[in-house]
Amino acid sequence: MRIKLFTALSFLLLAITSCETSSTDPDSIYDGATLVLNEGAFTGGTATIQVVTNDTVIENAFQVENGFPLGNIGQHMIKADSLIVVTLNNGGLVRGIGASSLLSQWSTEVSSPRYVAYSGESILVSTWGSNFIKVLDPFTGSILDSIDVYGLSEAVHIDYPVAYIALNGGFSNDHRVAIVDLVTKTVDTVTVGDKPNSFVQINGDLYVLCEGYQDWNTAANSTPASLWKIDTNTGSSLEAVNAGSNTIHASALRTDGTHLYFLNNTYNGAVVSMEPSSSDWPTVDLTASVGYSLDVINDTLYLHNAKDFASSGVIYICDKQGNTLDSMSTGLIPRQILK
Amino acid sequence: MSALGQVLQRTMKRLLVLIVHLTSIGMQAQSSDTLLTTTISESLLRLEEMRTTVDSLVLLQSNAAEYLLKDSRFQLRQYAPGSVATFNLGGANSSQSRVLWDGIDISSMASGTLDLSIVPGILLQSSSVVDGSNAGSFGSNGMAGGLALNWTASGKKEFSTLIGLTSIGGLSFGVLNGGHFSKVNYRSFLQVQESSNSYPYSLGNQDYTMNGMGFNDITFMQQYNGVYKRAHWKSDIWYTQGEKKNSGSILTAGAPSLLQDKALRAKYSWQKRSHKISAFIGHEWQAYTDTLNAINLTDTNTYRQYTLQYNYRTKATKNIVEVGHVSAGGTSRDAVLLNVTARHETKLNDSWDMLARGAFWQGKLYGAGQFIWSSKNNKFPIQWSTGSFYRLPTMNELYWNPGGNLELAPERSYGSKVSALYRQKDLKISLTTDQLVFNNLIQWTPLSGGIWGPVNLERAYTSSSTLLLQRVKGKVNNEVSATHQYSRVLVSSNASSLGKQLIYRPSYQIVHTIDGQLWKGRLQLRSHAMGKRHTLRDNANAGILNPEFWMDLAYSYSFLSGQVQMTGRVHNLTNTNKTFIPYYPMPGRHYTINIKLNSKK
Repeated sequence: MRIKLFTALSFLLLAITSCETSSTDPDSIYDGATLVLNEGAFTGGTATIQVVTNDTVIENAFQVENGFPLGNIGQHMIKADSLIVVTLNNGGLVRGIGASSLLSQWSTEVSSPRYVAYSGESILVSTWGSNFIKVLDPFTGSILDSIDVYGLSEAVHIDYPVAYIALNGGFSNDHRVAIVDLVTKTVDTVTVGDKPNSFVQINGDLYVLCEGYQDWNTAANSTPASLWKIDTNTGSSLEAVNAGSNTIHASALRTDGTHLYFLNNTYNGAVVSMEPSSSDWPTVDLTASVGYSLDVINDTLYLHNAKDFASSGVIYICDKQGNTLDSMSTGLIPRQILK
Repeated sequence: MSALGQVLQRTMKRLLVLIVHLTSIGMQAQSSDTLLTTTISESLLRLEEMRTTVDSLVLLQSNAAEYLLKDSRFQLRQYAPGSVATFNLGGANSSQSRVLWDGIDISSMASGTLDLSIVPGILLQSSSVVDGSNAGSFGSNGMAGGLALNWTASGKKEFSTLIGLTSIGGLSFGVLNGGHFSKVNYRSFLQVQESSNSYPYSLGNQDYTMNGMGFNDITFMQQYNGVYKRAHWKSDIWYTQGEKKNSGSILTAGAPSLLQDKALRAKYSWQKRSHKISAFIGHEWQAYTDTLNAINLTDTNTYRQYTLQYNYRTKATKNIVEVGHVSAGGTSRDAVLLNVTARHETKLNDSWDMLARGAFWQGKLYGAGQFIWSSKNNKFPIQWSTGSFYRLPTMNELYWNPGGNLELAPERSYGSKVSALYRQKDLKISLTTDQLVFNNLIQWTPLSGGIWGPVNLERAYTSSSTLLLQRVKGKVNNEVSATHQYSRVLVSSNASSLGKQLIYRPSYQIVHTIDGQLWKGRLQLRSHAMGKRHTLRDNANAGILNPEFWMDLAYSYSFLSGQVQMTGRVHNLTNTNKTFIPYYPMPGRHYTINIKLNSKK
């Protein structure tokens, strides 16, 4: 009888303890949720983080949680351990946000920040505000270092301990990639096509998509988009393929691990794909020409359509052949999706 | 806001005459100087603004954008006080309503608009606001609504010094001088003003102070007029120069941009009996510097307009031929065009008028016209008009590099409007309702290659109704100006805009003004209510500007036999969070003192 009573009490205690445990450490709605970064209106708009779960959509989750808006023009968003890091280029801010709570942890002023990457120890921020990329402490957001990369910087890719920084000239033109040793802080540059905008790495090769320069005053001075390959072992660069026409300006290079995907136009682009070894510029559109940005996650294409840039956007979810599987309404000017 | 006063053209007997006189702004703070007006006579039925004592003084020291907030038909878009101001009138957009100076269309054919923040209030008459579809007969390129600017040197001797101070860092100083010599009347106006626009605002639970939205400008106007051998002549000069900073919205990094502009306008007119000839020269220069941290981008644009207008009137007709040579130069466009407009208005009989308008622009001809029916009941006049007008593509839309579209069709309106006036003793009521369909609406939209360009994208419907109610009883003036708007996009290549409300059109605006004697001065309370506005084309919740209600209180007092007139104002008495553009908060409660010193009476 005593044993039964003891057993019963033990179970009761266990049950109570279990209840207490679950009530004090509930799963956050944001854990495992899909996050969409919307740029927001250029003039007088705020970027938004839209949270999508199986049964819930929170359109402006950051503001809901924090009581103030995210900032003007959301540019890039990454996960860095327990943080979401977002750059707000017109707002001149980099925000560190708790991934489970979406509560702002820190914000750091960086002039015209563009893209971020996480090295495991620090956060690199590219910028159009100066030739110096910023190195941030992921815990406090404080600027630990500034590294001169000799140009205005765009996309960032880290293959630790080396960081590759696309130098695109901001509103002007550039055609280099800075190669930064994050340990020694030494910097070298290699030449690529005009205005490099995105990277993917497949094995030992780093592919760089260059959108080409657009001269709106003298069209003949424009240059075509091109794809370049950088050998990560030697640091040498080589043009893999060229669009041929100086009216083609591509963006948003992504990969599923075997193929390359990108948009064949910087506005209203269609998704095209190619094998890395191909020497032909892809000419077959996989999707309609509606893309402003592109993500490839788990063999699925996420095509961001900003519509008229003054209405809510939509993300088309497509298979790798470009067939639309589903779509998702977004905020103003969807730019990126994180899952 | 409201238009008050009273004008009313009873029947459309003939085409009425333009501009007669402007009453000088009285120096005494009595109601006797409150309702004096001019007579811009068009064959459109409408009620004049009721100009209170406070309005009469404020008018001299404010710009047109600030002053016209008293009229519910007027919808302002502005970042901060004194910043660039564009407007909508009765459902139209800012390029569809024109601004005329003494009958000459001075809205830029390059941008399509005129910045009202650099139009001095002194150019506003009590009948300056023309609303609705029948205002398409107004000017050479309008589709709906417009502003008629004018001022006149009456020959009355005057010399006034104007001083203004605001609690948000504003200071203004002006001189108004008038008189006559021989048979020549003259009047001149000089004003300089600046403001740091430093005021508190809140963002969520955080409090901040607005910075980087300051401005300064100078305005000079001079008119001479007289009679020579039974002919009336008039010459005007109007010069403005300004600088406006804009640090971006409160969410941006505070890298200020700077807008610098200069505009010189000159006009000469000669009128003998039924014939009038006017010549106009306008030179505008504008530089916009965007300081994006390390990068400075400067865009410089110029606009020149040379217009010759011939006006011939008979008892039953009004005929205008206007030839304009316009050029747009600078960083992003370089073009010259000829703009020829002819207008003919005929009185068909006691009830019917007909108007025809045609234009030659960009090598093509465009036509417009309307019929106007007016009741013969003088006590309760009613007017109905129906017609179609156009808004020509601007030079920016045609020639902007990159993106200009030479294939653009003009925007086209089809509209019908009913107006009615009722007057009895001290009560005046005006009711208008206006239905418009806009076709071929031009919008800038992203094209291939990262370029934005204008295209004829949409068809939209707007319905706008305005009630103006004025009552002057004893020493108390009352006015209610209420406008309701409904709009829908009927056709669009963007499915998400279909069936949606046009952006930046409040569903309603109501302005109530009460003004009465208090001690030796006059106290005025003005209340504003504005409905929600959409700022996103799909009307998504994220772009809604919520309804706003605010009040302004003013007290005006004169002493030393009217030689000194002072007005103190409390703006936004209710300390409402006001905004015309998202994340550009306007000031909360703040204060202004205006002083007018008269050395001649």
